[in-house]
Amino acid sequence: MAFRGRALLPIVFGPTVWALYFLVAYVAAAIVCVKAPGAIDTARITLAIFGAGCALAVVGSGALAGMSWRRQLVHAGEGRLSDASEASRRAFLAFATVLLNGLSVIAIVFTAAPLLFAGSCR
Amino acid sequence: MTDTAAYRDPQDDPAVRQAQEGRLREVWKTPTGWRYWSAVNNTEVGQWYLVTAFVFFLFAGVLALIMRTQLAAPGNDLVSPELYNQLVTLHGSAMMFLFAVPIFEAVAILLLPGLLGARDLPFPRLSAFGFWCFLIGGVFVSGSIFFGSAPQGGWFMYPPLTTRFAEGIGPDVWLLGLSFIEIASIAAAVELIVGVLKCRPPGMTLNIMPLYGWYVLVVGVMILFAFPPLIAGDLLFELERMFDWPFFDPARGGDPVLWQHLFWIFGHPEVYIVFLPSMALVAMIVPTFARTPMVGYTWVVLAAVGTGFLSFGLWVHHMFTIGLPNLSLGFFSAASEAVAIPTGIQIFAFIATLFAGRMVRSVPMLFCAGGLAIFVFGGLTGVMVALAPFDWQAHDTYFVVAHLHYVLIGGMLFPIFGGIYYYYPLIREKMLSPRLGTIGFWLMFAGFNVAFLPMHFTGLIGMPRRVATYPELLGLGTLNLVSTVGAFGLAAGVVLVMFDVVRPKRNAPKIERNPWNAGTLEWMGRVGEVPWGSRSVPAVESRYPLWDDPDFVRKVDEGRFYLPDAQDGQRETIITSVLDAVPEQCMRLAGPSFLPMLAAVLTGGVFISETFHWHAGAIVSAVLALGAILAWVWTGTSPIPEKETRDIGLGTRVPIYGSGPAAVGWWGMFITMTGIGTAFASLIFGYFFYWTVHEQWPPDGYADPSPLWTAMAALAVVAAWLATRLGRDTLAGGNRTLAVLIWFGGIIAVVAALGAGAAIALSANLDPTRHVYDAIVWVVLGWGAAQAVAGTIMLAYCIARVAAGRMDPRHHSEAESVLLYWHFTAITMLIAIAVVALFPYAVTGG
Repeated sequence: MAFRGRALLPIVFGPTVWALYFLVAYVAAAIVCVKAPGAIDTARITLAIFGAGCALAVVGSGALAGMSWRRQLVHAGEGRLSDASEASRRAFLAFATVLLNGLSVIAIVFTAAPLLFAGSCR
Repeated sequence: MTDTAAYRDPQDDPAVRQAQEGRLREVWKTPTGWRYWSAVNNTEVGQWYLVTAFVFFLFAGVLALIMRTQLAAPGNDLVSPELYNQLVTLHGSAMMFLFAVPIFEAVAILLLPGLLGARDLPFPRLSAFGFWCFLIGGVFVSGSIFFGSAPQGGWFMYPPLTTRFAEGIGPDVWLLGLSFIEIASIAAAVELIVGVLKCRPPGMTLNIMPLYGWYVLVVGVMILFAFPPLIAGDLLFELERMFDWPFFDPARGGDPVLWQHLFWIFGHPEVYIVFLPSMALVAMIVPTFARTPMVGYTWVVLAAVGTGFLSFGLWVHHMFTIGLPNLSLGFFSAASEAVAIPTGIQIFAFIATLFAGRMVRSVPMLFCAGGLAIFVFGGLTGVMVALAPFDWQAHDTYFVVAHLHYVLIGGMLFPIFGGIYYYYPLIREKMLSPRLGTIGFWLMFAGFNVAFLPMHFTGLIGMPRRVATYPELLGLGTLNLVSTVGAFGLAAGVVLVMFDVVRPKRNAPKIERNPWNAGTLEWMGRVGEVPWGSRSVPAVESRYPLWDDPDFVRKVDEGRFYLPDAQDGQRETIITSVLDAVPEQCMRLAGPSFLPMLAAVLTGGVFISETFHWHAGAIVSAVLALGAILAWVWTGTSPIPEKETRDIGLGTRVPIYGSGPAAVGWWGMFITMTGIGTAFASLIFGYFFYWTVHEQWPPDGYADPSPLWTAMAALAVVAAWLATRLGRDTLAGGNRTLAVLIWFGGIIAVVAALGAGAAIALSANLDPTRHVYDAIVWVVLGWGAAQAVAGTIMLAYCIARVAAGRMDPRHHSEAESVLLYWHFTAITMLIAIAVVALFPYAVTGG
């Protein structure tokens, strides 16, 4: 399952959502600014809502990973994240997911801020 | 004792061990005499790579010194402006493409198998091919300056300076020579990603993998997404230069800004592609000299992965001054600041590790610490130029020159030098001189700061970049003279270190293994002494096995772990699962061969012939290169083994042959196709970019593409795809003849698809030199067609393999990999058809 440290790819869920948000926001703003500059305010609000949704998804998956991390730690033994055991490896992947999701939320907030503060096509 | 079982085994008998060592030595023997150059083992290829990259580094450094001498005084005329332009272009291009990226590949190829306790990387011949491509391309690009025909347009080659105003073949040398080297980088990325994921020793779960492995994984994936956009850009650029297709010519609908996008989508991640491998070295060096495990292992993984992602959201900060909307600038400015967070985290983790342990002073630590200090300074000016209003003032001045050298020399070069002092004893079994190292370091550190600190001020006063000289009136003479003096100080330090490396050390004592008392696996190696890498492939239980188990090296040496013998007379290594490194396969590796070198020479022939617009030569070269590659793949990959399984020791028996996701070849194909898919996506980005800059798209007077041919093309593609799949299933089901017939059907379907695709292009009456619309449609369709043609060669290859008895119902890994190729290719072709044939309908309303 995703976020429970059973696969490698879920650790990049957060950064991938950030990348998706970033790409959509940049491309949409660029197209609106060229093709329909009058609609930029609507676009900004829509993109900000989209960004908020992305941030929520990342927070939610991070919370799931966090719970899984705490559960796995119980099985991981003394070495916690540094044992050569499946439980330890799963705890590690879950914790890495938590950290990367944390970074991704910050990155989404950072790159959504211009929608609120620098929103012109000039 | 858990080890009783292990101790009772035949490994107790020294005669048995000696016989095993004899067989291993025979199998892994490095060829001698002139055949030495057919070696493909990671230690040979890695060392060649390393030496070659350093030669290019010294070459590019000399170019810099000539520039600094020219700039030492105002109005100087040591070199002509034309030569100066060549120097500045080649210095940047060589440092980035011929040193910074290849040095990552070199070090990783050399060290990674040792770090993972593996015998070699999964595709040894691919490493060799990459090296020869790099060598040929590098010599070609660097050599151009001796004929006065080096590129002059700056390392980012902006058109129209490099199209309309460039004389000679300079830009072609750059575009074709470096595209060729990018192939080497992608080859290395494939090799290293699969190496990290599938060649770890049994028991090395992802959470105890050396941090170096994480960095290599991240950088490999970054290469896969960063280099292809540049390759796509190079393709467009070369088509414009060679055939006058107007991609960057505004008079015919083109736009030079597209090149800037494609270049910097590559160019900015590139900075992190060269920076992260150096941090990887620091992450190996710091725990050794702090005498304690890395603090915050997971946080460092976060930093590596996080930086890898965020670095793709920064590219527009190189384009802040070209008039993009404020909102776009805001996005990239914010992302450029956000990337400081993961970068900072890893530096804090290094510092915390030094605090947590008892630091032992050493030359490697000196270089790492000095490098990080310089890098942090460059990072801070980076946050400054990430702010668009500041950048508008500093753009294209020496302030940026100072910033980027602080980042690259501190973040990349100094740790590499630390790595030289750290790993030299592993490769040569002699120590470098701590005295020369310390003097070299201080010369470099002081020289660097004397050279580059003043450039912040020359820049802020107003000195632009890339100028061959400046008037005395500006009052910049003193600052520039100081910079020049510093540059020679830096160079003196580099020369001293190089002298330390190459000076004869016959009288120096041979050192013990693991002289720094490090904890990671590579230090059990005896690279200079034995050819096989690890005597036996260890079962790993912790992050620092050499610290945690004092008997570890002895047990490895006595062959008490996996693969202690080469009884089948084959080069072998263990393939393990991605997450928990459970043994899955005992893979046979290809041995020495001249074919990779030959393939590289012939591939180089294509690029070099094209530089001189000699198409006939290029075509002949291409055909021969294809032949060499086919011969190499035919003889070197997926042989059917004489037995199905092999006992690898410790009571474990695994298959010898793997196919589908169980085979590393399948992973190699998947990774390669991800890169190729990224290049295609970049062309699609180009198509839509042109749509945004044109009021009318397609431009007036264009016929809509024929719906009939579009449907036919799509159907034929799907048929080819299905045939590939059905052929694979039929072969697996036991019917070879029918499988071959179905694949023949697939080839016919591809021919039909190509015909229909050509009909789409012809029905719209496109002339690619008339307008960028025609040109981009041709390129998108042409790309799909090229992939389809390669796909038919692969189908024919499968047919030949079955006919030759080299592929059968139980052993068909090639069919699996070709099917994977066709998944990607079918999607590519369908997207190509949809974009060029359906999008115009959508925007014009049918």
